[in-house]
Amino acid sequence: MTACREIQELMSTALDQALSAGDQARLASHLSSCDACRVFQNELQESHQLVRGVEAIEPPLWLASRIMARVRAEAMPQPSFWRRAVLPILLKPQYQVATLLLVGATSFYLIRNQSGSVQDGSGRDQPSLQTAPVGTSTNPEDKAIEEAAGARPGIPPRPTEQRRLREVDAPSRQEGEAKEKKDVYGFAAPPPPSAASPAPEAMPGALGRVGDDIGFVAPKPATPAAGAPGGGPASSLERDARADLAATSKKAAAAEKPRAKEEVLEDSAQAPRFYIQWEPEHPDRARQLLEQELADLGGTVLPEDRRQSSQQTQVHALGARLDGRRLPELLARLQRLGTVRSPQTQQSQSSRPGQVNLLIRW
Amino acid sequence: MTSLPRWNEESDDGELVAAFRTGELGAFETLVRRHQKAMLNVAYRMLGNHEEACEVAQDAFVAAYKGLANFRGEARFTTWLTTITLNQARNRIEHLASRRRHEAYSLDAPRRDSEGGHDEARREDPPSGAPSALDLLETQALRQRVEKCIDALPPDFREVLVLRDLRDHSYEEIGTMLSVREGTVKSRLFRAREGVKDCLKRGGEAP
Repeated sequence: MTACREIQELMSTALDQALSAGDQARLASHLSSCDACRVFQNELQESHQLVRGVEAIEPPLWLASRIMARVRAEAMPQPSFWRRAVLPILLKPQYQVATLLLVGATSFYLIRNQSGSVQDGSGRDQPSLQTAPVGTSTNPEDKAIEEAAGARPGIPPRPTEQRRLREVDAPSRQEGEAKEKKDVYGFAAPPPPSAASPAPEAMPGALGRVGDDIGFVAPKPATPAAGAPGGGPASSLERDARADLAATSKKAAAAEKPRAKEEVLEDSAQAPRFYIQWEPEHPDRARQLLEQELADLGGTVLPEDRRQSSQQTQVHALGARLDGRRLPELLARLQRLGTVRSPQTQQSQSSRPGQVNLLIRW
Repeated sequence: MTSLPRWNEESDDGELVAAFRTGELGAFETLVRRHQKAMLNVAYRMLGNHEEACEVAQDAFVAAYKGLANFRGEARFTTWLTTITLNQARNRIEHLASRRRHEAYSLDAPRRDSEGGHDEARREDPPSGAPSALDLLETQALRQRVEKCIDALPPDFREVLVLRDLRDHSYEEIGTMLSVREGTVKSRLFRAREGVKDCLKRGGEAP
């Protein structure tokens, strides 16, 4: 069998007329005695003819021209690496300048936006004496604001949202509030501040609201008249007097509103705000003492709040600006002159740099 | 006084190469037109695909253009060019095999050219006085079976068969092209021919 394989390989070489004379003799000798190899040789010769008969394909007409197009492209002088990398920069300084300007402007814009958002966030997170979780507010007004703002429990609305909502909804809210309080007390009057009453809710825009609050604040509701148990309706004369007072105060507040709102917005945006509920030992001299203490500590009294304190009501308010580092000292002095009812948080006791806005009510 | 061109369309390959080395790009174009058919057929028999063969032929000539400065003339230009074409064809075969592995399950994969008539050369109109339609069909079917059997060979055997039986290169040239000994060329050629014979006996079905 091995001899047959060797002979068959010789058959392949014989097809190319490349056999030596000795191999030709060996092949002929073997084929004369091996039928299987003769069959193999016939098949091999036949397939060889078929393979050689395979026609060559013609190249497409475009092949040579396409080859030469690529060759000419290769023949084009290629710029060196340094030329390609450096030359565009050297030749186009205006592109460099434009790129630098673009990058600088973009960076400035991003940094400014980022710092703005940080300020906004710090304003939102400013500690306040009156900070309370949203959703736990007992003040109907603040509850309405939270609901309107879509606030979720534990997530305080942004101060700007609160301020906007207060301004937009103020007229209708005041009307609804007056109606509600009228239903309860017989006339539109908020409950007076007292030691037993819960602390007012967080009022980031408290200074802007002072005019509204004070303007609509009526005297402490009188004890229900005999014969009208459970806070029955007051007399028509008393209701008319309350309505006249409310209308007058509302007009005055509306007239001063644009200027006050503008200043307050500016202040609110710049300084933290603190709300202080104070019960002075001498209410009749409270304002004088308070202004004196603020003057001693270098603070300034905001004029609109001095105006908003109504002699006809038992609610007084004073807005002031003070160096935050002097705030603990002011609280200590107020404590000596009366009782500070607002929660004495650690944050309010600690001094803070920069100006703070104060709303002191008594 | 103008010097006569040192080459023309009838110049042999050596003269054209020498002219090209002096900067005559036209000499190289003559070489392209002269050898494009041979290189295209080598690539086509190696790949079994007309479009791929055209791509390989282009790549081979571009590679030859880049490397002609290093051509020392120890072998014939045809041998050198065929070696380049074979290398390009091998690279393309490996590339196609890799791509086919990734597309093994793709229903959109194009049908292999070897599974049906695919090139324009096969669709040429028969010349007048051609054999009957039946003869043509039988001849065409037989040719397709032969091509299919050639395609079914392993690349090492297929390239030897193509170079010897289709391109008529000598054992020595084939050994030079493939960097193998002459005995290896004979051995591979025998096994390639035997493989085609057995394939044809099976009716063109690969083992």
